[in-house]
Amino acid sequence: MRQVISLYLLLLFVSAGIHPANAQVPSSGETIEPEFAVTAVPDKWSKESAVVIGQKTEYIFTRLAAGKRYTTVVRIQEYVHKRIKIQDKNAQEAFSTFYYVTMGKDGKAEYQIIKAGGKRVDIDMKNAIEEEKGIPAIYKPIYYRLGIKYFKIAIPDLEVGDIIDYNLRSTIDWDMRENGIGFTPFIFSLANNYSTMYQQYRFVMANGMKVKFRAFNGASNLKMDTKASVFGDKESYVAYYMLDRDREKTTEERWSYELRNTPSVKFRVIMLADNDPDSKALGMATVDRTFIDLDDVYKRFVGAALYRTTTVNTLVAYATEYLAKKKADGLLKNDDDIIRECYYCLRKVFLEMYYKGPVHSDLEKYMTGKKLYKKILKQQEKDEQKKEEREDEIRINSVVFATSLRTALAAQNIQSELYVYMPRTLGTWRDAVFLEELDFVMKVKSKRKSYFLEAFNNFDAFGSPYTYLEGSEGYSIGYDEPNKYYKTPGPLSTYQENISHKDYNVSFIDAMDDINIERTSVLTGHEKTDMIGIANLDRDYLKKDFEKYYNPPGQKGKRKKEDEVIDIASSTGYDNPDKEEKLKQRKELMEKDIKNEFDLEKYGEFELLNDGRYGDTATLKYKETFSLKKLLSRAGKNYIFDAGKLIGDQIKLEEKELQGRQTDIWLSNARTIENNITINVPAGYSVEGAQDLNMSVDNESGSFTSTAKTEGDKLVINTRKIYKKNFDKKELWPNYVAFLEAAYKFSQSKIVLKKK
Amino acid sequence: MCRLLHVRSLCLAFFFSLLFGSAFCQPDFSANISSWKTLFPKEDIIVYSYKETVSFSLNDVPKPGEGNVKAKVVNELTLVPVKDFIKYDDGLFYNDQVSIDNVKAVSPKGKEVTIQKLCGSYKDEDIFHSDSKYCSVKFPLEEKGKAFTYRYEDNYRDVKYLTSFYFHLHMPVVERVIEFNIPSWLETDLREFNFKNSNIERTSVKDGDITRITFTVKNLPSFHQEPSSPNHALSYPHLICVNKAYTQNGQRKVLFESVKDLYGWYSTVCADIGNNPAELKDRVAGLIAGKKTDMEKIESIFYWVQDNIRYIAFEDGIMGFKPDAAQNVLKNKYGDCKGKANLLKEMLKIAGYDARLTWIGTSDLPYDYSLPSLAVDNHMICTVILNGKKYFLDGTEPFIALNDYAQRIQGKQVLIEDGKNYILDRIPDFPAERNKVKKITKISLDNDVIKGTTSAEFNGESKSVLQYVYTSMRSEDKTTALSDFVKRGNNNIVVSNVQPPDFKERQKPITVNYEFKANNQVKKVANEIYVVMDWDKEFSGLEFDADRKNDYEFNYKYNFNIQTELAVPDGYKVDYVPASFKKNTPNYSFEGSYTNKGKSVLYNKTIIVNKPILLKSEFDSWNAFIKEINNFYNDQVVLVKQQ
Repeated sequence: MRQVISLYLLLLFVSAGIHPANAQVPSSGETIEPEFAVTAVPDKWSKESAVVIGQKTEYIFTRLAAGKRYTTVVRIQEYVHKRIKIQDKNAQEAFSTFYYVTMGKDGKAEYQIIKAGGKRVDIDMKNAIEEEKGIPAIYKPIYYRLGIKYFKIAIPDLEVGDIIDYNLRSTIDWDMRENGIGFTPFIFSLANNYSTMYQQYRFVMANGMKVKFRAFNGASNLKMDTKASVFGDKESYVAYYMLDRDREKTTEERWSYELRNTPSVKFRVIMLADNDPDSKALGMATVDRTFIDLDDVYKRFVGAALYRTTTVNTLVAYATEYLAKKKADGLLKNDDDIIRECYYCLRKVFLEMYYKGPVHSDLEKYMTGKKLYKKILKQQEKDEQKKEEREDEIRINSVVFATSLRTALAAQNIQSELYVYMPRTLGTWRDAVFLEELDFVMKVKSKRKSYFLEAFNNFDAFGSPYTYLEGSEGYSIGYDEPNKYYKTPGPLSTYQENISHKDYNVSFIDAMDDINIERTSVLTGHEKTDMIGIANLDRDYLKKDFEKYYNPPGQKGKRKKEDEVIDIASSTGYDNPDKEEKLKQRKELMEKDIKNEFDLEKYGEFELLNDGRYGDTATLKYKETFSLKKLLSRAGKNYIFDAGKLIGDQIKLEEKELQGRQTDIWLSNARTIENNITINVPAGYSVEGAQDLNMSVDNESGSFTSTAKTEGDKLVINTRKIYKKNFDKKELWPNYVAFLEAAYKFSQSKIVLKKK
Repeated sequence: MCRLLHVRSLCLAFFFSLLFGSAFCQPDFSANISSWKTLFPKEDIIVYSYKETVSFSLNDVPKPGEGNVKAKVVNELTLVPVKDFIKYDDGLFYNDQVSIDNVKAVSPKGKEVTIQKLCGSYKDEDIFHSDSKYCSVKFPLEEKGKAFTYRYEDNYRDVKYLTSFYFHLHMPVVERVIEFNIPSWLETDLREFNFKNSNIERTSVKDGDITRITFTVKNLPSFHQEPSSPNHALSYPHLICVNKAYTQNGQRKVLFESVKDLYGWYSTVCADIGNNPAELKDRVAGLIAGKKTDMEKIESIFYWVQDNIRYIAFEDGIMGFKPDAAQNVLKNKYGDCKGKANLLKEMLKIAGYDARLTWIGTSDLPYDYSLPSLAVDNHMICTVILNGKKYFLDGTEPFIALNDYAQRIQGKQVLIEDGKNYILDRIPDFPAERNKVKKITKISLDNDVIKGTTSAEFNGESKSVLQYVYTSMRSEDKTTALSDFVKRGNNNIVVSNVQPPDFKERQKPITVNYEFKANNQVKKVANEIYVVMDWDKEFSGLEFDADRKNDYEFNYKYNFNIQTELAVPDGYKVDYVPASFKKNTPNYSFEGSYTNKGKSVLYNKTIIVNKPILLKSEFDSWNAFIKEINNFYNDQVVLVKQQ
């Protein structure tokens, strides 16, 4: 099931010696809605595995007091109640064991089974087993103080037709001095793995608090519950709730972003500071439905390009000297040249420090800046999990990069900006509610264009697009004057920029069982992403970098402490100690890549023709030889050749996909896949049936076109598949069906090699 | 599997070191790296030496849970990274019977390094709760070639739990040593398994009161888990330490000298299960009411347990060996293999049958009861003796019929309780015929699409797999799952009108009838039509690369019997049918033929794989077999327009 919102997600500290203030404090789980008494499910869901009859999550936020004064501690009570009907063996298995977490001294679980005849059976939770968790030593005191406990219990006598009804209670005390005034934000879809008849989210907040709440894609809004609110002279408790009914279970569709396609909500409770006028004037909780505050965005992110460290100094000092020399030599003619060369020079220094310096785990941390700028880094840790790491990839920390690039370019009188954006998977800028949702890259403008520059790795080409920036919305923060920011659309690449082009030269061996292939692949833009790390595994590019951006050491003057640099002893060469191993590994990985799509008989040679790391439109180009099997079959004296399979695996839409689509279409980016296949027809044979390979489907969303023509003793097949956009409304899904089905049909096409 | 035992080495625990507490530097192995990289490619860490030293001690005053003989295993390991500054990352297992103590790692400069340890309950996919614990161990290594040493001890509270010793680790080992220091008061038998061609040397030296038996092997490659690998006990060299008896104060006391002693301990453990038959009576009465024959009654009880008692395993301490009481399992409606076996026994006894608890090692284990050790078995079933015939009831098999046996227990020896005595017997072993898949398909051409109907019959393991797939799916996904099952992942096949079969009749095969369309299997050129009549092509892709490290275990013994008849379209005649092909070996065979019947072409195919494990030494001949099969598969029927 979808992850349950839980206090367990909140990691915090407890202050000792505090007591609740004398007030009429509401308590959680007191009201059981009539929806939780239901035993029947709607007919439309009667054949489903299980149905959530009701689920309710309730939070109560109260302030603790010591004597007559409030402390900085907020007590949070959580109450979760679920009632689920088990309708088949799959659900019976899924719910036959119950794992749960409680927090606080009064943390507990209650569990009941309602048998088909109405009999209620209480599950004795004393039989639950507390699990030992591997908690890192530094967190152990926190877990102990918070009283976090992990339990599991096998549910006895659970049968198909039963209803399970359980609730969980937890309490934690949140010290604002240590943990901040904003509690953990929650972002989730209202669609569950099982269809849900009724769900409610409820907050009760003491005065001096507010909840930031936004609903999306048709989710209900938060409402105030006056009946459940308590208004007092000194203290007030205001209750808010959100109801959702009759919610179909999640449907999984390809190219779908859950938060953009399904009813979803974002919320977070915030404690107002004592000097906040809202806190005193209102004396009660409020719901904040405003957009994200741009000043807050500025304050939070501006520092990301202002964080000077010794590493930054080293990068900047080298780049500045290098650029000055190249300028003096007349090699940098315009801003575009300077920006590009600055980027590559900084990377050279970074890679030199990494690969040639005293490589050390501590240094690695230092270099990648993991001890810097804690809040942003914490967020990055989450984001980095989304950005898949490539083979042999080393990426500079984004704060080190931002500061280095900004400083080095400023020395050349070129101003950089920080582009803070809302990732497309989460929504538009207007959908942003919390600062934690945002991310940043650098943006530098020349007269010609704006460059969006992510913290580089060893493979990125200057100015190449990044999938996660595609179609994003954000704000640019300027550094040439204070408090400068303005709205900026993110980059959007076209299918002409992201191209996979493959030339095949196909010949048949005499035995007519396997085929030999010589293939040249040319990849640009996003199409390089999966292969560039593997293709450059030999690290020969380091030599090129070190030579191209080598600058003889200048005079070492005495520097101020804040300007100190690391002595990196720059030199031109690089001898990769693991080269042989890396070459072997590269071949194996390339071979594996082919095996993913073809029945490989033997992988031959690999040759890197262009490493794809330089220039705005840097192409990754390599050549391979290999032989494939099982593409030829006999038919009497003739042969059937699965020529269509050479374009690789194509998407085969499932039956339900052919029938329609429920959600909008979110692709990562537009792109083009081209194959030029030259088949050398073996002597004594002619080609028949090639006319079936001519196809043409073209619409506003995409296209698949193919041609096949005989040229002497060769059959030349050209195919092109284009995804023209990175988004379409669901109504345009038939366009996708049209060209995807055509591409699949082509991939299954055969020609006959007929014995003359 | 129903029971976890602490297994030494392989993917499990790790350990290392030389002399701790002393601060001298470790040797530099930089000069060896080049040759090690050749010998052990793709490895990050080489274990220069790994020694386990086993010693025994008498426990004069055993505390609860302790035995009269205890054992200590000191693990000492020298780790050499062949890459700079990588992190050592591994895990140690322990439980109520075995503790891990004195874990230490020392840097090349002789300094003890801080080890990051994260310890907690070990989660096994099949076991809901056990006493198994797991410690994740991490510490940073330094430059390549600089050796770290690592050491820890396993302390066994009772020597009966000291069983298996494996030689392989998940890192390569230059020198691997296991040394047993056996005192004169202890009678120990070290049984060797899979030692053939392992180059393990065994030496024995008498050193005063101690007999030192040492096993040494050099240049061991790392152990790699690969898909469809047989359980390591079947392939990898290992020892089982059988501690037969000890002498204390002049008195000889037997531990596990023979199966009789093992059975004796099992009996003791099971003596106080606390069954209360009265609580089962009503249920049994209801199940056998109206059943006339013995077989009907036994079946009724057996199948009810299969259908209604969920498999949830508790392996906590002695509960790894002792069944939960029958009335608890009945009330909870869950249990593990022991709980289910015990419930079956008690219910069948109430129904008037001679039912008994039965221990067995599944096909994952290469042993029989000539090995008196807790490692010998891992499962429990129930045996019913009726009119002199034994019926073995495995309550954990969710769909099996009475008198039918899952492949994982076929041919395995069983230990059946018999009061103070015991009975040894063996589960019948069935040929691949038991698992037969029989398909009869009629196809015809509709332009360039093949349309057809199939009647597919599933038996034995193939039937169990189908039942499992179908039953485990959500209700709303069952039809799709069934279609996907019969189309075998082929995107060109569109299944329709698939009829959910009758899963209730266990003694009969399952038959699935469906219609389908097969796209992209026909090529029309001028007057000719080329037709693919077999798109399933079983085993065509099962070839083994030279770099596979492990033997290959099939899911079960296979028997496919396929018959497909193509109706020749009006106006066409058969121009060509592929030649027949037949290949028989003792372990597998293939027979395929096309018959031109004028108005139709009949395709017949029979594939039998009668041996569930293919050894690495057999890969070449298997690959040649597959090549021949593919040669047959890669030929197709040609129809030509009649003039």
